[in-house]
Amino acid sequence: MSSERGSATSQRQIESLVCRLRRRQLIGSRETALETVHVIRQVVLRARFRHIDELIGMIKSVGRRLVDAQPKEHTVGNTIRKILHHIREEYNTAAQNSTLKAGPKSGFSISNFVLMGQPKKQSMPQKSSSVERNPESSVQNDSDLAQGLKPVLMEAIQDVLDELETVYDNVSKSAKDHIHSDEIILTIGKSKTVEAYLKSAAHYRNFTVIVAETCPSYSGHEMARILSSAGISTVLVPDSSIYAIMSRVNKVILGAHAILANGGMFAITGSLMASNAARAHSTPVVVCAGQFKLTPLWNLYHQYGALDFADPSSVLGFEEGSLVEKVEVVNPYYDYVNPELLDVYITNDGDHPPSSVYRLIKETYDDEDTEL
Amino acid sequence: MSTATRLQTSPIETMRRREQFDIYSAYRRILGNEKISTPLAAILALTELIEKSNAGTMFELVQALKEGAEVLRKWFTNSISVNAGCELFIAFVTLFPHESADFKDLKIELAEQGRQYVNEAMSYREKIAKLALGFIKDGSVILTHSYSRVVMQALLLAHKQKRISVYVTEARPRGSGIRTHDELTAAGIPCTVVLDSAVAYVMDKVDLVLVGSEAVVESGGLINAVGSNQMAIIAKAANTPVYAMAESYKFHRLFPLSQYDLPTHTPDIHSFPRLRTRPTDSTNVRPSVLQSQVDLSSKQRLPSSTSAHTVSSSEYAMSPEQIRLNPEVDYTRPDLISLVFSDVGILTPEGVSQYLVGMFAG
Amino acid sequence: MAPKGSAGKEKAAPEEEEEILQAVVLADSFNNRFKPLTLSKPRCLLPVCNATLLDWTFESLALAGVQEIFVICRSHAKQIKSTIAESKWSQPSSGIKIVPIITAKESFSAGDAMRDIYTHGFIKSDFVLVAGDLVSNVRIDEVVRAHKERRRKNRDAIMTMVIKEAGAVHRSRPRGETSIFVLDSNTHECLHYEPVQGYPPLAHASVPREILTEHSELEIRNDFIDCNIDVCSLEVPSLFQDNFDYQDIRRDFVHGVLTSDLLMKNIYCHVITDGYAARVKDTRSYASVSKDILARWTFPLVPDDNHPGSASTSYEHARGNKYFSLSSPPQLARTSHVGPLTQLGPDTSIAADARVTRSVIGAHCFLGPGATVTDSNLWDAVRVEAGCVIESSVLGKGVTVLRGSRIERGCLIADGVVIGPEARLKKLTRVSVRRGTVEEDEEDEDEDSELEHVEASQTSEIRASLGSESNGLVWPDDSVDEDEDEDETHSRLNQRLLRIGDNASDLDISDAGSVTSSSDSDADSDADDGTLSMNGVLGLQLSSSATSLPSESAVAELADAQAQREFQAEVSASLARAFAEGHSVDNAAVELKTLRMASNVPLRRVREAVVAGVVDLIPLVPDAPAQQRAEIARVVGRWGQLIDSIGGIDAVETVAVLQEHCSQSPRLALFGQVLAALYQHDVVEEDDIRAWHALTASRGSSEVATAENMRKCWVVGARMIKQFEEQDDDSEDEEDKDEEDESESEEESS
Repeated sequence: MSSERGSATSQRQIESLVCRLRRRQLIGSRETALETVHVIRQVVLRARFRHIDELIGMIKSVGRRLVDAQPKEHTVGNTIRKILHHIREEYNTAAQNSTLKAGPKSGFSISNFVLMGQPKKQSMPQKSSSVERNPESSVQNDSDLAQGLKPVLMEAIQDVLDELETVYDNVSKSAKDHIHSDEIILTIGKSKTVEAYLKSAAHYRNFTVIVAETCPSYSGHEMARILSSAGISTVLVPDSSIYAIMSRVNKVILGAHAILANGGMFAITGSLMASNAARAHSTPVVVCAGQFKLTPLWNLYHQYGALDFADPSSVLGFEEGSLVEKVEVVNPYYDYVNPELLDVYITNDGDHPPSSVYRLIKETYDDEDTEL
Repeated sequence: MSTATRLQTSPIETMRRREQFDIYSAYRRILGNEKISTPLAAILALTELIEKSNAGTMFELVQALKEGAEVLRKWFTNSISVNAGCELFIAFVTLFPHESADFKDLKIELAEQGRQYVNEAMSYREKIAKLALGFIKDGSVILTHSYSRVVMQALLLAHKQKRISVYVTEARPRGSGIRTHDELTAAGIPCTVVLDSAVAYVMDKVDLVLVGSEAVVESGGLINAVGSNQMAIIAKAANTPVYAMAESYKFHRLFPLSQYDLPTHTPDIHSFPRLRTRPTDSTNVRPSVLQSQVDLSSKQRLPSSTSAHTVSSSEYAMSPEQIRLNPEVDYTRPDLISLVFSDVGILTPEGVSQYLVGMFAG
Repeated sequence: MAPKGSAGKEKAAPEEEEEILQAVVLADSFNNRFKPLTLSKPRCLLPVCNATLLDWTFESLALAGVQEIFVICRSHAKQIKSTIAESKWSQPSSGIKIVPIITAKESFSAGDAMRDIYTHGFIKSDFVLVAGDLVSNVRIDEVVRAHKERRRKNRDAIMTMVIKEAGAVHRSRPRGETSIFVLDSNTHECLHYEPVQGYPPLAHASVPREILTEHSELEIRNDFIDCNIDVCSLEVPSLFQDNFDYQDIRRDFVHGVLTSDLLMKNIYCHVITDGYAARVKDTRSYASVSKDILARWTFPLVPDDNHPGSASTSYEHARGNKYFSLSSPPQLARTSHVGPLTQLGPDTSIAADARVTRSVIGAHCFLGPGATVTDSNLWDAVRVEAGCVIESSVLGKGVTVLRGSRIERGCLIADGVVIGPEARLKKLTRVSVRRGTVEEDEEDEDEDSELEHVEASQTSEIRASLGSESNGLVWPDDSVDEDEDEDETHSRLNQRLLRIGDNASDLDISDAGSVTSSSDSDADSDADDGTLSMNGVLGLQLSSSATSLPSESAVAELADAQAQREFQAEVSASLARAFAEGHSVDNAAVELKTLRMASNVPLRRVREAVVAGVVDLIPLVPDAPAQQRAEIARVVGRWGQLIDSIGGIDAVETVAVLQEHCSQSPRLALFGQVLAALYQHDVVEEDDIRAWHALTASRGSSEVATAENMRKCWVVGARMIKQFEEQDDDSEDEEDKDEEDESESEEESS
């Protein structure tokens, strides 16, 4: 490929990101997403392509490598899909402006007609794939278009970046509408989104947060520390008492690791227990998460490994030699929480019930990118 | 506007059309090919109708197609899947951008599109089977209902990579479950037939329920061989996921609220036997139903009068007449269905309705 | 994504540190515990969980932010070199520079390798030294940072050893080769190090008294896994260069540095509580490290996450810590059973009714119907036919086990062997391919001869046990010549503790747990309970838990006795080495001084030992007085000066010691001659002999068993003095006056 040499630096960047993902040196959904955008921006910046599909292919192959490096960090794939979606959109707008007549009838078949049923496709009947089938004569035209498009594409990527950078602010915008004075809120684990959300609400309201300590990572301790130093009245409780105190709780606020297409989510262990307890007491469960966590995948929760099993040492010390030999220690990092247990997702772009996550995903990503 | 739900064409007119082109025999001929399912056969039949049609305007053509569809529909008591295919095709024809000068060219083009689609649609089952693969984990126990080609394909594909076992319901009265059992056993998949009434018994051992479909309707619900609904209800109670498999040509613009909203429902389904003292009143019944209604009620009277003698002699089995009083399909509410696998992707029940709106609203 | 269980680490090292982190991997094991598996490939290329050990080591280092790795290889060096060249590590994108360095064939120890490092001079700053069989997820860069920090304050902190807390009984802790570490509780300075062998069980371990006096809080611990991850400064290789006799890094170097009163260097320990590190030192730890990996202790270094093998293999994690290859999923028959802690490589097929539990199966393997594999490691392309049973064994690449065979615990089967049908392999059998059947490129002569030796031992009975179609060769069980010469410390029984599948139940090692720790843990033992708990086998009773004993004097006494015993053994070993290897008197003296300081014993003890050593060196030549005299003159001429070089000249004591020694040894008759020789070589003067003669003790006391002999010596001395007097024409006899009383014995050397 012609771009091979020019992108030597970006290759190195990709490789280093791959390594850090593999070795879990890069942790946290948002950080990972940001890094991914940076890498892709470099790729696009240095890429030389004659046709938009070439660029898309390039991004996809980079995306594949990143996703393979750490399939459990869903935001990588999400970010790639989102960028692809934006790029296609920009390209299609540009293509329609320049070659308005190019829309050939051949693209209209029954199967495409069926595909029109997709929510987001309604506005643009021409898939980009149909544009590909243009006669050879338009290729030259296309490549000019594609090259001239670069600044626009960079802007599109910048949009994704901006969205990521403002995600906490945007999620917490509506905080004061959801949290009322003197409420008791339960949360579990340490989520930056939840943290921003609660802090923002604390500007307007007085409320109490009960933090479950979240064994075995005990990230709840850290969360309690942060919240109390922000002036929020905070109570730290062991995980085992979640059910018992649920009757006094007005709202459960959870963070998410990934939101799946059916409206369920992966969240830190203990979230399922908290959600179930909340359901038993009819306490609403609110999930705070940026839309970059929307993941167009379904079947992960069928795979046992998707829960991401960490090392057992935080559950059972390695020095317990005789036990290590005899006991199998399991330390899953995530819970899968099914959509029925959740009431609302508060995202950086509005509040949505779990049932409309599917539509959001359809709108945010292109179907052809589901498998990178 | 082509909502095309129920078309009231006069029988006489229908007869006239049929003289020109016997769509039903074309349909039967096409269905002779094992691989082609009913909605596709209907589309192909309509394609032939276009080719033979001498309509000169779009309006006439659409009219002809609607009539053809109506004719086809009348041949079946259970016309839902045929309907789905017909409506898809008619909606497509209606919406097809036609700026070509010659209407003949357009008709050729349309027919070509129809064939192309059917060819394409033949691969949909494979596509769906692949989608489902990720949901079937090694060692799964799967419960399925009756016989469905797409489910069979998914199971056989899964069997190549994973160790699955299958429970299949007998699906009385046709016993199509037996066919499923035979085919799966021949392929080396351990398979056990369970009574339709033993679904609740077996449910705790089942990891997932996989059903095919007659049609998927706008609510996201499912129309499938009778028994699917109860299976889904039991699965829900046991927190077992229910996956429906449906090719996108089975998406049907229909919004049933209950079993009795289905086009297949007739008043005599599950009707109580009329007392002999009261005369039958069947003047207000639709013509298509009249025939069966009449002979049903006449035959029904027969066993009820002789029940004391016949039933006691044999084992307690339903008589054909009693069976006939039962529905062939039932409707499963969308909240009972976890996901719908289709060639356009994996959809939530809500997603199906979005597709349908997209297809037919424009 | 799950953060790694261990401490939070945000960024890889490069940005913060200007100088790159270098690591040296000793790819050679310098022993033969894996034979015959290591006949055709070096140990570091053996697969663990379907990736070579070297890959695990590299990944462990990469995880820790190491950027440049030097691999020191000796045996099969070319193979290692080409493997590295072909691996993903050598691609520029890996971000790690790997330089294989081939050392001379003659280097047989880690010490030699270190000297090589010194001569090559490629190390620029502090570096990480690891063995080529390390599996770890420890953030070594943090240790390096701590090490550098320490170096800034104290230039003599030359090394930091990384050790892992594991508990006294742990599958990954080598039972045969453990160590006692004495650490300062506050600084984690390593104050004393003592290697421990599993068999014979060590009854006592001694801690030098001065350590107890200098440090207020100590931890004496025997519950560590020594990961052999050492952060070394540049001095370390140069120290090896200076001390050419250092072989083992722990036994010689660490011990040497700690006991030396000349070097004044410090060694620190970094105790890791979270994180995992272990070495595949032997077949037993091979099995346990495999299990640790599968049980995810090494997270994120687990098969489904960061499998270090070739990039194309990925694994899926299933309930029960089972791992299945994703790239080409294993074919599992319906009735096959895959138990927990199992890894199945790509393209492996398991037939009906076969069972696999707690095992690692390589790529392209086949398990026939009804075969059972438990606790075993099967490398690539192993074929196990119907009805075979394999327990706790390691099967090399391409091994075929024909139907109905049974392989019992602890068997090692080398690459390409065919066994069976109906073979019955006894426990701990080692099998390799017969020569001629498979063309092997024998690397050197001694391996040839080794094979010959093995071949010679084959009996028809052994052949029968392998089955009729076998091409195997059973290695004899007694591993007399298994070890290299310098590995004499490995008794054969100790080796058994290092072998896979050998539960060594017949060995008397009562793992009674920790019986040692202080019964009255009061007073100054603020250190938590863990610090004093030790493996009861070691019986570190008194000397170890000294801090909590009520009486200080008792402690001192006991510790003293212990130290002396220890010291004497050390001195005689040191002398024997000096004599045998012909060290210079100065060198030998330095070594003795070091020993003395380390053990804190009175000078007299050293003198006793030296005199005894020198005297015992004299060969006895009966019936030839002239020759005998010549021998004495030779030995005393060569080594006599040593007696005075040990620090402090006290000739009177020398004579007394000589007398004492001779009185107990068969060389009694030589006393006069030795004394004369010493006199001749100016070790003792006339006055000294007189002074000795005048001592009451010299005359021998009636209470001592050897009094008779003492007296004889004294008489000889008297005669000599007479000679002097005659020479000097001086015949005064005053000396004889005052020695007829006092029968108080001072001390007896044991």
